[in-house]
Amino acid sequence: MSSRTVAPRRKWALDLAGRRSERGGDFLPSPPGYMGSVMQVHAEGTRQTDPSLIIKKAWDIALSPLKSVPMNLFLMYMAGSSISIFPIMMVGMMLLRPIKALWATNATFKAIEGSQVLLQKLIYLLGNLANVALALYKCQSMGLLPTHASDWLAFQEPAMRMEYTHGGIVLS
Amino acid sequence: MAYRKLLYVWGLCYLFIATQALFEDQIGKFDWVQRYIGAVQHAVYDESTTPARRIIVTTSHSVLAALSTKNGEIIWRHVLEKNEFGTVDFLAIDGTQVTTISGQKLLRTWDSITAAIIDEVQLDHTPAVGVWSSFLSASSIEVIIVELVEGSAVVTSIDRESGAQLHQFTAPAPWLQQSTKCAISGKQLICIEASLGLVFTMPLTSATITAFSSQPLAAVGIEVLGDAEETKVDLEKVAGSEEHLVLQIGTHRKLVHVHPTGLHLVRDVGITKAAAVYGNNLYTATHIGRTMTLEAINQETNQDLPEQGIVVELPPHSGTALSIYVYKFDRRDGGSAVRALITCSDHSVHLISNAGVVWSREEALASVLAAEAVDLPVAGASINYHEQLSPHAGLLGSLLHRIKTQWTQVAMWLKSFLGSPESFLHAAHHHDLTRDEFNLRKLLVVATAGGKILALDTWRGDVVWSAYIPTLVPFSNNKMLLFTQRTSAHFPHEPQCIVVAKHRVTGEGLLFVFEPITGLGVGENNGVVSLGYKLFHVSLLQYTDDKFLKPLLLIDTQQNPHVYPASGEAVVLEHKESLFVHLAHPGSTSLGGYSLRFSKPGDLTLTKVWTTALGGGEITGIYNKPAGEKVHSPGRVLADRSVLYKYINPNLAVVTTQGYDHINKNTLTLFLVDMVTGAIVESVVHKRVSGPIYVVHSENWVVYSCFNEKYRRNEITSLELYDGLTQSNATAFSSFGARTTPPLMEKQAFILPQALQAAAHTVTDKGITSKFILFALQSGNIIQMSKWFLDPRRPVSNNAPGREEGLAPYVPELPLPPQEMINYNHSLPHVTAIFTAPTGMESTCIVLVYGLDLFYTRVFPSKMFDMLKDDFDHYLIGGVLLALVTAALVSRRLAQRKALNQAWK
Repeated sequence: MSSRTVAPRRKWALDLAGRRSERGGDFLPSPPGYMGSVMQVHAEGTRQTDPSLIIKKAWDIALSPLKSVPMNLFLMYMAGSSISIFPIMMVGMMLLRPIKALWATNATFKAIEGSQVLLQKLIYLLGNLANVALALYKCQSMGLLPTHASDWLAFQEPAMRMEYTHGGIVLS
Repeated sequence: MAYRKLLYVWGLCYLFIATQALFEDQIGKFDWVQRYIGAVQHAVYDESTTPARRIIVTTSHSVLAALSTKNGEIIWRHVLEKNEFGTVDFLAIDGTQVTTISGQKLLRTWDSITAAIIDEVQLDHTPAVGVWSSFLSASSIEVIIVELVEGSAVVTSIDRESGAQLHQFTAPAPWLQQSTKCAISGKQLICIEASLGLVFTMPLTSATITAFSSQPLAAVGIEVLGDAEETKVDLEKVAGSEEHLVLQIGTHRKLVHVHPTGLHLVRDVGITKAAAVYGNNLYTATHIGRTMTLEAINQETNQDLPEQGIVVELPPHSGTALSIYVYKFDRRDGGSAVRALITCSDHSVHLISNAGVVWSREEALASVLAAEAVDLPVAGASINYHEQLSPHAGLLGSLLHRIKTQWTQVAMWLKSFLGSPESFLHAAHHHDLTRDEFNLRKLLVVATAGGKILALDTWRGDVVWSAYIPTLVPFSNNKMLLFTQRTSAHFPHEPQCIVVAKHRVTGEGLLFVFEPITGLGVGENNGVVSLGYKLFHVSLLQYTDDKFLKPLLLIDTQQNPHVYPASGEAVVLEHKESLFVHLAHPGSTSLGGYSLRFSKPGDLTLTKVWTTALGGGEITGIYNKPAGEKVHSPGRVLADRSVLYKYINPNLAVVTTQGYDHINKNTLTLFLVDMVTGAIVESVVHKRVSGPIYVVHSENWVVYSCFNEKYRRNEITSLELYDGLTQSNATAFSSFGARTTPPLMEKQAFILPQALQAAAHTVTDKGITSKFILFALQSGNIIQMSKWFLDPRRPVSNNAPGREEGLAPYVPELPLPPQEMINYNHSLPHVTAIFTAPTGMESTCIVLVYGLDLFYTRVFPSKMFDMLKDDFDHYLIGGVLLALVTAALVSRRLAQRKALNQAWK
């Protein structure tokens, strides 16, 4: 086909002007169920703010850490207490996720305004802290927390010597 | 069942401790062995070939060896028994057949080429009661043994072939005294009694019972003047001739010929050191300074043979010549050449020819008594300023210190640049002795029984310097002490070492103070300090004076303390409250503790503060902990993650007493005594065990070995002391600290399949690395055994807490796997001790095993955790890295180009 054309054309070039009349696109009927006017109405509807919906959404966000506690408990139980790569990864994720979420608290609630935002933030904070506590408990039960004297043994300075004694069997 | 359990444990052992065997290509890479024979006592040339290729020698270290005349190397060596059968009294050679008589009991014949033993005859001879001295002579038919007892001489004649006694007679000699010098020469017994001015001779020919006949000393041209009791009298044999003797009385030295009719004066050999006869010629050696002059005289014509004389310079610090062994041979070109083997008072042997010294052997190294590792000086500017910083300096203090140190470095550098001769670094550079990056290369300073101090480079074992102090002899229990007073870390102060021994004549204490890098004496009289009193005890204080020098505390026989150098007195007075001394006399049963508390300036005194009587017999040994030992870990972690704190008492010493129990069986009692308070912390009694006992005492543990007479096996017992689960005082340890409960002791005994020759433990820089215990086995192997095997907490049953802690179940037999033998196929006979020293790398410890031979290597008790393996392939890894980086760069570029091309399509 291209050999017939006089000038070489790029294969992705679209001829938006010439062929439309040939295709007769203007005369095509709309697909079934398509109504041009409806979309306009829907777009106008979403733009209107619904306060109760925002609060609901905000509560969803605030409660989500607490909701994940049973799930985390189950996961922890399943992970077991052996020190191997997967339990460590899971515990690490469990510990890091709530901490990250805590740092990003303000960002999470940025879009949300309302009278209950302080309470929501508090609940969100508590939920995350609960998750952190769970993860720490897991670490503790796995023996990963340096809570024993043995964990600090390497840093102990050797005791100072108070007396020196010299001697032995006499040289004859 | 038990077998399976054992197998399981073995498997476990190998799982935990990856074996550290040496690979074949690593042999000699960081270890070396030096073979020695000891001080030569008898020597004969093996003249079965012309010229002689071998010199057969016997030595004071019970060695029979053949040395090559060409280069002095040992062609073969037999290490004989350590007991009386090892001391060779007589050596002769006939063709290739070497005959030795040892311990007046065993006549052995050896082949000089193959070194094989041909024959051994036991001589039928029991020593007489109360023998003062004995002499031996052998011919092809009989062996004659003369024993001098009070008032008579007992002559025994023994058949050489069968060893049967031919006859025995006693010749009365009422003039005989213990100081009388005698010798056998030319089938006659010659005795000199200078107080009478007489020479007594007695023919020893068999079958005729004879008596002594006397001859005045004046007949051989010797006048005894002055006090005859004090005159030095000696009879020296002349090598190469049975019929000659050198007679020394006072300053007179006469060479005499022994005839059946009596002695005839041959020559006055006044200033000569030794004489030898070869064929018709008489050779006399004169040794003045370093110059050795060998003069030859024809005995018949009595004229000098200058063409056979030798004048050579012996190597420096060779001592004086003791005896010479001469060999003359005809060269192919018709002329004749002379070789002379010279033994010197420092135990060295030299073979000289008229061209000079052919070879020398440093046999002093066969009798090393003490060793010390000295850090080499660092090259110029990179001196580590941390090493001389006191730990309590603080931030500002350390900053000031750093500035000061670096200023001194710059100043010294400028000084050396301007050509000032003072820097000791120059001398070190002269030998190219500078510290390597990890401080693995050191100088091993050794003190030997002959009074010679030598320094060996650990790199190849070369002797860097030597110093001979003729008057220096070891204490009578064959001890010589060597201390490092100042290390190389205190630039610009020179390092300083000190040897403590006694004077050869007076028996008083003698010090040799020297700079260990160059071997030059420090102070007047070339570093030799005569103390003027006999010594009871010597130790190095752990406190330093203002010049970073650790003073030496010397205690004389009157129990008066002295300090060397005298400036150290201030250090003692400063710390007198915390300095204690403990002493025990050999053979006594009680220990005495002393305090320096009541010392005043100019008057140091020891005050007795305690006496502890120990049961179980005489005290046979006191084993202190290594001075200045560093213990990194104060406790052990148990399975439940609690800490079992170690009882680390630096003042604790192990005292062994050996005696008999009520049924007269040998018992060994081991006391752990706090030497500040005299309190017995623990004691262990072993019944029916005998020595020798080898004790290794370090940190909170003691490992010792003894022989169990009941089960006839060697046992190793391991003790560990623990404070408990809490620590009374974590920051300081005082022996006076109140303790409510005694420390806990864990103990366990193990069976060692072999007897020991020596034992030691490894030492590392910071004490973090786990420990190896090095055992020198009777078989000549040195085995490195992890302390883990000797852990007394090894559980009897294979329980879970033990496994958690990493403890293997208890198995009585200790494994001796061949791959743990650090000296692989170099057997080391007669090991005296094992010396260990830390290096700059925490993982590495250097080991010097001394005895008859020297063996040096490095050990890695926790494997090489802080450095790359010796066979690490730097080129491969580097090459691969480089290739990867290049590939990444190239492919990136290619990818970029491709993307750009695509974009333009």
